[in-house]
Amino acid sequence: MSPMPHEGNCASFCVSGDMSIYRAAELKDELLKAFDSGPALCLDLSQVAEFDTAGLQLLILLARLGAAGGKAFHVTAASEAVNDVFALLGYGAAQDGDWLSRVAARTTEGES
Amino acid sequence: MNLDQALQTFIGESRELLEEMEQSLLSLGATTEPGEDIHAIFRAAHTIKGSAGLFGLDGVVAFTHIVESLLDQLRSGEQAWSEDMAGLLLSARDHIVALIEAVAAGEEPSTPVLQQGAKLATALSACMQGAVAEVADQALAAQADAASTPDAEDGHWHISLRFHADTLRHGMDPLSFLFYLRNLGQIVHVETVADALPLDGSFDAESCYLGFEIALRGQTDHAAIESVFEFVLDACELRILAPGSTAEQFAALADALPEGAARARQWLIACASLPAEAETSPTDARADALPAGGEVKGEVAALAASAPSPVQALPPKPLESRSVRVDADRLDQLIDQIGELIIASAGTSLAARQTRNPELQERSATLASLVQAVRESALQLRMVRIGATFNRFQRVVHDTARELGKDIGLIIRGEDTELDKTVVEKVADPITHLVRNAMDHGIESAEVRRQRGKSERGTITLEAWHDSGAIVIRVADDGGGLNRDKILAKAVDRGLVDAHRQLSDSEIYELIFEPGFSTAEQVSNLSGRGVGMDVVKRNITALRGSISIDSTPGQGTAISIRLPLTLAIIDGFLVEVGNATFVIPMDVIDECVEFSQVGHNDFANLRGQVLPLIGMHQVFGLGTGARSGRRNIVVIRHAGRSFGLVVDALLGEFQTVIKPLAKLFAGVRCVSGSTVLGNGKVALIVDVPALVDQAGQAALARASAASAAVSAA
Repeated sequence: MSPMPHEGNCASFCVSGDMSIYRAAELKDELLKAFDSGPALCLDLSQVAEFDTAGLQLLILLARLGAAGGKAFHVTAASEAVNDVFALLGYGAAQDGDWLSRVAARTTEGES
Repeated sequence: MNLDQALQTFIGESRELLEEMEQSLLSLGATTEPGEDIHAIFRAAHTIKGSAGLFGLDGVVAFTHIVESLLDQLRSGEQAWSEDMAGLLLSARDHIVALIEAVAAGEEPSTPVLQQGAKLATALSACMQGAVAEVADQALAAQADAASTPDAEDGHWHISLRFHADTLRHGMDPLSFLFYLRNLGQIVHVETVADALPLDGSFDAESCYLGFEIALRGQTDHAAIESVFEFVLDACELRILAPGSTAEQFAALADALPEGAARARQWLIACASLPAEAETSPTDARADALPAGGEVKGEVAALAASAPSPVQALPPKPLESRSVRVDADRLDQLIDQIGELIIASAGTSLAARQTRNPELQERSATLASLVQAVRESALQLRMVRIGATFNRFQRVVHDTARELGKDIGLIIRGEDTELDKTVVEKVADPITHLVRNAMDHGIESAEVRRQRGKSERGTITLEAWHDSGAIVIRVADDGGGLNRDKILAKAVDRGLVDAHRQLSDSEIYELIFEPGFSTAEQVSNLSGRGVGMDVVKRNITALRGSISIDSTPGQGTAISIRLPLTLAIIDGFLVEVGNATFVIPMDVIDECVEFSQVGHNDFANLRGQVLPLIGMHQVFGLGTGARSGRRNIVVIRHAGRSFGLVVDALLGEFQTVIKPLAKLFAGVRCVSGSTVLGNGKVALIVDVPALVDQAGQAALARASAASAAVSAA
């Protein structure tokens, strides 16, 4: 994974390899750093080999932080592993962003 | 989880299932309509077969499969239920127990067990209709699985999952279970529950914060869904609602979820998980297809609109699924450590008092009360309901009644009474003996009962209740009662008592606890060999308990066992005798009074009543010394009698960890254990039943003689 050059206002970040429990802690720090570096974050998940619950939690964290802090967060591309999980959970395609509102909406509901 | 642990879990669960199966079979007994119970029995067999298959236990699978097939025919109504069938299935269950125990022992089943299994298999197969029996095992398996059981219709299941924080760290991925769930049916809808996921710095990427609400549609059953999560059951809360669950069940689920009922209802609405028709009976509801979407929405709206469900709508079930299995050894270790903690805390309090530092004293008092609270909770952990032990006696009574050719029923009361696990384990044997004894000697034969104008069916009552820091277990029968004269004659014959001595009824009844005493005219297979009651008494005494008999001629006999709730720690009262310190268990103490030495040493006048005194100095052979201080009397109550223990000084309450005496002191009477005091000194724990046994009678006699002398004077 490597931070890509900024495209406009969007900090791009590509996760390659596994997005799983084995690397979750390390990924969390890098993702949060990238997230904090600009007003928006574009995440490329097309190179993700393995995607598990820990990976999903990271995405939910980012979606919620985005909603809470008024930041934009997009998934620009997703690998098969990611799409399988999204299909299982009924989130639709990762790129569509429908899932973002579903996941993020909980925060406000939960806090209300 | 390694395979060995998984196998242990399998063995543990199988034992439980088999116990439930036994209960169900016994409760079915002679009924003609097996109803719900037969489904429970079938599912138990099915689960054991399935799990055994996972571990490659072919012997268990093959036999259980035959049982399962027969059960399947029974529940579908192809086979009629009969009492013989119950007997056969009970034997089959026992055989499965033998097979599982062989697995637990890590051995192959022995030859007699295998022969028995072959016989049973033949009998079971003979029971089954049609020519399918042995040859078509495989076909039957398929048939059994696909059989149109009420649960197996294409139904809408609701599964609620909450994973524990450590799930991921234990190498388990919740998503993988969800993927696997698709093998059972179609996942209609999933709600990801991430309320617990923190947005601040406390987010730990390796902790699991997620839960799922899942709507699954498919031909499956409860056991199959549960088996998907089998390896993660310890690390999650799993709640499954079957198709046709009622609105109350959904309300209960919503209330049980940690996110609150209002949130939960939204997920249930989103999952469209709803009872088919709450008003109709479950069977009807299952027969109907899932209601149309519109209806569903309506029902949910009604559910959502209703105020948070009232308490009575909560079924007790969900509590069970929230329990955690813990190794008994770990619990014992915890209790041991808390014992040490109590000793350490007592030492701290003492040291704090000596420093005369008020702040330190206050802190140590807080600490002591916390330690006490921890002790209470820890002991609670070991408490188990006596119901499971009691229910075992359904079988004992059933079998023994058959052997004896008597018609005897069992009534159980107070099965919710809790007591220490170790006590439960040790008390089962003595109770078995008492129950068998009551059935054999207590309950008369049918003719005699008829002549006496009683119902032909005899009754054994087994009950338990709590009574001032102790549990009382009572085994009662409605038989002929003890024959006072026969017991006395026998006792005189054996030289146990002097023929001229005047004995009260209860003293005579107590004689049956003497070694080598039996009044049964005929020695039966079950009891009457004269070994037994003395062993029962010894076992109970070893548990710091006592035993008493109550009998009414022609009406029956009741034997009450009184046991301490726990063996490890007691609340004690510290007293000084000579230069030794003793602990008297708090729960036998009524009060403390001052000893006024006016002429007699044998009794005290306690508010007009004669209180027999037991001099601790004499019992333990301690010199009274040259103490000038006034002595005290500790009034204790045991077996309905009050006694006064004469001691030198009262030192106050003390929580005590019982340390058993070394083997060297095994012969010491009147002392049940020792403990270490805060100052490092050893104190002996007074064994009150033994003390009263040894010194009580003499004290009573002296007291009555002395008081008579005083009143005569």
